[in-house]
Amino acid sequence: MRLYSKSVSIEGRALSYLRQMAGAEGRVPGEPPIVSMGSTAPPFVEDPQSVLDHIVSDGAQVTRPSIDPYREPVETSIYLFDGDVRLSMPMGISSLNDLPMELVETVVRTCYRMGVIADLSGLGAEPSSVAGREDYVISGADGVGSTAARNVQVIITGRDDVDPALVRRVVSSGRRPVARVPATDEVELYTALASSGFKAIVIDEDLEADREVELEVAVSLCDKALRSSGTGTKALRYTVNLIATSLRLRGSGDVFKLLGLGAEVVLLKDCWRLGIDLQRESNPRVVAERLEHLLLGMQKELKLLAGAAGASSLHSTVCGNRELFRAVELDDRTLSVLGVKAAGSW
Amino acid sequence: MEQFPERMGGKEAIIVDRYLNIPRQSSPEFWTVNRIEHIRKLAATGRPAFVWDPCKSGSKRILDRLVFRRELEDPVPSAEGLEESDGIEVESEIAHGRIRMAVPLYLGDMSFGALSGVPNVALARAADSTGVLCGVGEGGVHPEVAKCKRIVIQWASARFGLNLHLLRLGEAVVIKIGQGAKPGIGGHLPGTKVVETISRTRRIPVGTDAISPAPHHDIYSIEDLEQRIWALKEATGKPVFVKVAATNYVAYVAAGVARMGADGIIIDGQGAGTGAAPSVVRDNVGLPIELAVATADAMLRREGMRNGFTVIAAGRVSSAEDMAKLMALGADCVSIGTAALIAMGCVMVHKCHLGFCPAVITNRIEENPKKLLSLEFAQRCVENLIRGWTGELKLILERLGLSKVTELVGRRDLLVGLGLEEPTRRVLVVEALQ
Repeated sequence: MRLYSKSVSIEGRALSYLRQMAGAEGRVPGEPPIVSMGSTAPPFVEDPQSVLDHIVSDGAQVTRPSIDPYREPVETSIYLFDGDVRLSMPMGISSLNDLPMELVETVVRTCYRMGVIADLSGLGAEPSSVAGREDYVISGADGVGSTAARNVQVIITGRDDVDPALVRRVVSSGRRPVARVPATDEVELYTALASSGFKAIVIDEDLEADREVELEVAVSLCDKALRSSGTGTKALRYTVNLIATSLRLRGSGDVFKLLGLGAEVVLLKDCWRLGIDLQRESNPRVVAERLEHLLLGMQKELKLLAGAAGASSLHSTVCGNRELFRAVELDDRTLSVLGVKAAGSW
Repeated sequence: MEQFPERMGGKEAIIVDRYLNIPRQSSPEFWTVNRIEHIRKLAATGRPAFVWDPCKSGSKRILDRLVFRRELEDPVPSAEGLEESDGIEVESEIAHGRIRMAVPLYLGDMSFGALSGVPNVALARAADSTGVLCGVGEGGVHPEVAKCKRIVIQWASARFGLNLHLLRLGEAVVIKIGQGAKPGIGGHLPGTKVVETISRTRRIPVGTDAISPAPHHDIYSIEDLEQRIWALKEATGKPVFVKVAATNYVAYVAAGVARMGADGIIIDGQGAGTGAAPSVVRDNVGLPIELAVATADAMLRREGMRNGFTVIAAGRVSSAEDMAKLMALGADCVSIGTAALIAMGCVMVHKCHLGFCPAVITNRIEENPKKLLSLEFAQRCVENLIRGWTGELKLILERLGLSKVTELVGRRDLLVGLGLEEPTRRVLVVEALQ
């Protein structure tokens, strides 16, 4: 069912851009990298590594103006959980489970400071820095028994795992049930999750399933299915937030495309760790600074992409707006599951 | 000296009049060593090197996976020993017949500031001597370029250095809405390259980034565009083109531009060169030119607005065969930028934004430069490129059985797609190889 393999290494240009923004390389941290001469991007020059590589975003011109993100505001904040939690940008930090607790504490604090979410998946113990920052973390592996985190994660691998009674227990404890599921084309799973009361669905491409599809395909299928269940603001889509994550995501280009396909938040895994060069840098103060720079740089990149496309708000104009995109060299079947038109078609 | 403000200072500089060795390309590159060598060969000899461009083999670009049916029947590899036939006419008229072209080539809109002066002059003089056009880009006009006839003045969102006198200098005016390397984003000249000379030409402070507004703040609709087109026509008496990036709605944009009275549209595709752009925009926004030209041409025909209106295709045009294929897909003329820079010695190291171009083409303008590009060399190379390119175009036309380049426009039936996805072929309206 997949067109491309799951394993993609983040290297070359993509890695260098992340490092420049984090300040692990170059002299202008926190800024979108500037380059020159023609692009070598896939699918035209480099080999495409995913369906995302076939998607191009729009540049607004003539019939509607683009927005100048250097001089005009582009709103990047995202509201989660019926407006209870406001993120300053549609991102979160994941893949913390093998870090020393000291660094996890730092990342949780930095995420809170930057207004993004920290995903404690796989973490046995809850770091003490969660206290006071409960809205900005998703609990670890043992979500149901966790103490502080308000967003309680439940791992679900198939429709049979959906247990409305558990969902009700979490809700009655004053907390928010968050389902973590593999990337699948089984849309009944997504509608079952939303119907049973989950407040957010995390589609994690790195979980295994029988009917796996690309994350981008799963996000679009989920978004479309939930929008068409019920009408208007009663649609299931408005009761639940959609969060996407995968090890292979390389930066804001991928984040922006996943937003347009339907996600509200994208959790970064390998790309933030490689960007701040965690292998060689473990000083918490440096890690915090680099993470702040990286997030700021990526936020500015998202503003550039949104502004170029004429969108002044990520949440209200980009999320689920597949019309912002066109796809180059994809077959009809993939275009139809993605809900994206072919490049050049009217 | 005053004519060459970038040469002020007076100290003797080394004059560069030869090519650097082409560095090894460690990552994938559209402008492969083969493509660079081909252009260098044309620039050195002024004679055709190939009939059919062998550099396309193995490329993933859609245009490279389109071939003329004729090539499959008659795959002549080299132009060596082939006589240029006299009977092939490559002249054309653009902008409702108001501009005559010796060959429908446009040297694309590269600004004074992005390029370091000598290359701007070389391009403009080469356009004069060969009868093509040279767009001056956004950023004022170099005094030596201002003396050339076949230039096109750009009216872009920051209006750098513009006045009525300058607007009237060229053969036409181009309203720049977008460019292929950064659709939806304004021009960008890094502060390190904004030296005294550039500061005076653009009327901006030294050392500040010159970032043009993303939109024109007086063009927020197609109606606004119409007012600007007619204002510029009345002020200058020249034809007006509109330059846009190839984007999702490029067919509607082209129809709107034609309907509002412009004389032509320059469509700049994904992958086009730039002096500086944010990587995230360059790599994720915009359509390839082959799809954009095909869809814009089809829309203009459907709307009955194709006659007399000029479609100029830009972005990764690397050879006469690319030009011929884009014309077969619906372009009247093509624009070359990177190819012209390569003719002058560019080795594609992607360092333009830093200002220390090893080929001294996009370097920061210094008061006492250590190296300067030879104007004579640069101009001769571009002229030769145009001549050799024209020779290759004639050989292709001859093999296609056409006697005039204008007969090629819109002849999609001459092309065939190799392993293209169905939706791509529907946009191109090109058959698959059986």
